[in-house]
Amino acid sequence: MAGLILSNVWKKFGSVVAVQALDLEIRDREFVSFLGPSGCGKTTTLNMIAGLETPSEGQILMDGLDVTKVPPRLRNFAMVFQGYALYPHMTVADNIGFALKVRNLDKAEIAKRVADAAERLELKEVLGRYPRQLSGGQRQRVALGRAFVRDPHVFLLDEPLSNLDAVLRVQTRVELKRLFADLDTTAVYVTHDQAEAMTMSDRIAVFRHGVLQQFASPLDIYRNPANRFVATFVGSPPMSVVEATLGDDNQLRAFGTSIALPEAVLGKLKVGKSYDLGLRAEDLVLAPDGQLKMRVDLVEHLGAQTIVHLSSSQGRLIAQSSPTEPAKAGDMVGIRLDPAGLYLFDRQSGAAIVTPGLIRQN
Amino acid sequence: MAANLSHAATSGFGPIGRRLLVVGIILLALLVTLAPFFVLFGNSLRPADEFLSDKSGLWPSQLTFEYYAAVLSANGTTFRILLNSVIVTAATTVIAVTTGCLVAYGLARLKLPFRLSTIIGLTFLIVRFYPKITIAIPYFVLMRDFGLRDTYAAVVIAHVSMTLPIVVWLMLAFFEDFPKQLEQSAMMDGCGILRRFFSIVLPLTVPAIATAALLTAFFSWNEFLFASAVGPLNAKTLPVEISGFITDKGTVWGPMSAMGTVIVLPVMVLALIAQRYLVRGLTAGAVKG
Ligand SMILES: Nc1ncnc2c1ncn2[C@@H]1O[C@H](COP(=O)(O)OP(=O)(O)OP(=O)(O)O)[C@@H](O)[C@H]1O
Ligand SMILES: [Mg+2]
Repeated sequence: MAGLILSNVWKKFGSVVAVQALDLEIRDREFVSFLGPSGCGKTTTLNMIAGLETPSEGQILMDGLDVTKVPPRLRNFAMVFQGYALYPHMTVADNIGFALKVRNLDKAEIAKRVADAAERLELKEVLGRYPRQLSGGQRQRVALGRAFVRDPHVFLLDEPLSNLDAVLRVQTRVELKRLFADLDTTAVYVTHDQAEAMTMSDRIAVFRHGVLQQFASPLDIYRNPANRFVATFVGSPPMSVVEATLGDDNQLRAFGTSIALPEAVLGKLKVGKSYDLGLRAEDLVLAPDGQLKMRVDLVEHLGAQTIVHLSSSQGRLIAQSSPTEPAKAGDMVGIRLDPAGLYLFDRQSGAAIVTPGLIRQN
Repeated sequence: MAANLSHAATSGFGPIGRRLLVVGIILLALLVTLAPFFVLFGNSLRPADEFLSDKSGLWPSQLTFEYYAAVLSANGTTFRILLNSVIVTAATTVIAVTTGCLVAYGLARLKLPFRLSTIIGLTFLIVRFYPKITIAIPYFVLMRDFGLRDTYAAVVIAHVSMTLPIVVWLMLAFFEDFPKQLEQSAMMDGCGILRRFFSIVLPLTVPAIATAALLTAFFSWNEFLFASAVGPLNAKTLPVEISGFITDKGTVWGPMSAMGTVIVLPVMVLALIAQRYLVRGLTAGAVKG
C-alpha cells in the first residue's frame, strides 16, 4: 500500500515527446485510471511508475521516497500487461507462482497462495495447463492471478481487458471492481475505454498527446470537464459540438434558434463572441413542441436507449429518444434542450467556460 | 489479380512445361551438390587396380571393403583421431555457444554508451569476412609462444574464435526479436538480468541455440586450415588426417575415400535428425511466432 507522486515528469524517445511536464498525485489505496486515445502516453507513464522506463526528467516518489531510479524488482509493484505476457513455457500454476519463487518463498507457502489465487479467479481446473491451451478469458485471469498472489505496494494494469470480447469485458470489469474493493490497494489502470474508467475509478487522469488534461473524479470529468477534448472524449454517444454566438439580448444563437442562459454564467461570456457549444445526447430530448426542428438521418436502437442522428442546414446533433416513441429516418422532429446541460468552450483554446457542473453550483 | 495469375501460369511453356523446367533445375542442383559424395563413396569401395585403369567408370565394377577395414583398425590411430575430433568439436561448441549467447544477450539488452553495442556487433560481423589463411601464421606463432602448440586448447581456441561471431550474430537477431513484454514481466516479478536470462529467455530460445550449436559443431568438425597449423600430431583431427593420404609417392585414394566417408556420415545423420530445428532456427530471427 502506497501513495505515488509524479513531479514534473517528462519522457522523450529521441525527438518524440511521449509525456510532458506531468504532475500527478495518487493517494494511498486510490484506484486511478489513465484514459486517453492511442499514443497519448498512458503506457509510457505506467512504465515509468513501474520502473521499466526511466523518466528523461522529473521525479517519482513512493510514500515520500524517491524511487525514480530504483529498478522494478526492488519496487514490489505488480503489473498486468496489455498482451498478458504469460510465460509460454510454464504451466498456469508456475506462471502465477513465479514471482514468489523468485522471492525464495518456500514451496508450501507458494502452493497455498497459488491455490488461493486460483480459487478466487476460478482457475483451479486449469492450473496444470500451458498458456497456449487456455481461452482468452482464462489467460487474462492468469495474468491477474500473477499480480494478485503477490501482495504488492501498487497494482499497475495496462489495458487488461482490451483483448476480451465485449460480453466478457463487461463481466470481467465487474469482477475486477469487486476484487479491487476487497484488496484495498493502490491501483493504476490504463484504458482507452471510457466506460471502464468511469465505472471503476476513484479518479481519472485524461491524457492527450502526452499532456495531462484533467485529473478528477468520474462525475467531475463528465459534468465538469476541463476542456473540449475531455468533454468530447468522455460520454457515449459523443457530445455534439456546434458554433454558437452570444447575442446582445444575452441569449445564445445556435441552429437558428435562441437559447436562454442561466444568469449566473453570463458574467463569464462576452456579447458578440463565438463559442463552441457542447450538448450531450441525454440533454437533447425529442419532443413535438421542441424549439429546434431537425431531420432524422439515422436511428440506432440500443434497447434501453435509442440514439438519433439529426441534421439541419445549420449542422448535426446526436440526441436520445425513448424507445417507446421511435423516430424514423427522414422524419422532421422537434428537440427540446435543457439549458442546465449545456457546455461552452473557448473556440481557440478549447478551455471550458461553462459546464453543467458549474451551472449547478451557482 | 486472378486474371494476371492465370495468364502467367499459361504463358510461355504452359503449366506442364513449367513444372518440368522447375524439376529439371532442382535435379541439376542436386547433381552438382551430391556428385562429389557419390564419387567419394564409390572410391571408398573401389579395388586398388581400378584406380590405375582409365576405363573404370564413376562407380566401381567390383566392390571392396578393405579400406574401411584398414582405416578402422589402423592400430587404433583412426579412433584416436576420431576421439580428437569429437573432443575438439564438443569443446568448441560448448564454449562458443555459451559465450556467444551471453555476449549476444548483453549486446541486445545492456544500454552501452557511444553506440558501443553497434560497434561491437559490427566488429563481430566484419571478422567473418577476411580470408582465414591470413591469420593462420599469426595463430601458429601465438600458440607456440603460449606453449600451447599441438594441444587441444590451441585448436579449440582457434575454432572458438572463428565460430563465436556466427553464434553472436545468430543469437543477436533472435534476442532482439524476443517479446519485450515477457522480460518486462519477469522484471516486475522480481528478476535481475541473469535470472531473466536463465529462467525466461533461455528456455524459449532453445531452437535458436540448437541451430547455433549445430552450425558451430559442423564448422569445427570440418575445419582443416587452423587444425593443421596448430595441431599437427597429438591434437590431429580427421580433416588433417585425410590430408596425410596425399603423400610424395602419390595420393592413397582408397583409404582417403573411406576416411572421408567416415567424416561425412555423422554430419549427414545429425543434419537429417536436426533439419526441423535448423530451418526453424535460421528463419526464427525473421519471422515471429
Ligand atoms: N520505445 C519507444 N521509442 C519511441 N517512441 C515510443 C516508444 N514507446 C512509445 N513511444 C511513443 O510515445 C508515444 C506514447 O506511447 P504510449 O505507448 O505511451 O501510448 P499509449 O497511450 O499507451 O497508447 P495505446 O493506447 O495505443 O497503448 C507514442 O507516440 C509512441 O509512438
Ligand atoms: Mg499502451
